[in-house]
Amino acid sequence: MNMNKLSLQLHATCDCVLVLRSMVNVLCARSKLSAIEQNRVGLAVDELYANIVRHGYRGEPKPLIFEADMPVEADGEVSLKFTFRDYAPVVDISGWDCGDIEPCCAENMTPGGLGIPLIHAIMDEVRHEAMEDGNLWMLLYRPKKIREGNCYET
Amino acid sequence: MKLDVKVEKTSDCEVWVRVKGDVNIQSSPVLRAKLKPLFEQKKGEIHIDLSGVSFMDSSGIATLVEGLQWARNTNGRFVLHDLQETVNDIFVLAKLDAVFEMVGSQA
Repeated sequence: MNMNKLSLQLHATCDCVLVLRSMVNVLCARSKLSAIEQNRVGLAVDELYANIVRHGYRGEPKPLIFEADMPVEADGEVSLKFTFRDYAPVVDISGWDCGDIEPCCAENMTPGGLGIPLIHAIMDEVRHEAMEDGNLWMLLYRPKKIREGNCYET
Repeated sequence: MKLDVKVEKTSDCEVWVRVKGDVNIQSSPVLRAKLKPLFEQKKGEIHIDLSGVSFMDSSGIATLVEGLQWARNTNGRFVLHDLQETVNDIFVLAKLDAVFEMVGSQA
């Protein structure tokens, strides 16, 4: 039995974000991530969850399966892997902004639209698979050993 | 963690907003509801004390961007104070650290 794998089935609502955060924190603590990395990983998971709740399910509490795991990579390093299985309409991610976040100026700033770019900025892999009845999402994070006071590495 | 937002009018043209708790998908509407009326002001300064916030997601940042737009449109000031390192890190990641006026962040 994989003791590092945590699974959760829930009806996706905004308040459940705290449950997901707890699961993420457990794995981050086991991986001995710094507060900076833990915050980044938690943010990426929160953002994807928020996206599913808001845009996939449009605020309706529908089923979601969330899994958090710590697979050992080919190089022996432990990663953090998070999967979301939703039953929302299949998402077309072809238009998503997956590149680096560009510096912005105050004149061009618009509220919103930062969630997906932040997920891509934080995670090493972001995968989406269209299912017959929904979407399968996978986020993979390889620990960077970013410590407090040295938080500008990406 | 419950989000606590206190609005303090310190002078005719200056307001301080003290925020405590996590700003996420669940709590960011609370922050937005408190800030939105302040963006009706024709001019002045809005200071946001974020020393009590250790987590902020993109919905919280979006609300603060509205403040930035308000400042631009009114020639006012919208100032973020005392960001914790974890929150400051996200502003840096989002390349917003140079866009906002920030004072006393723990970077």
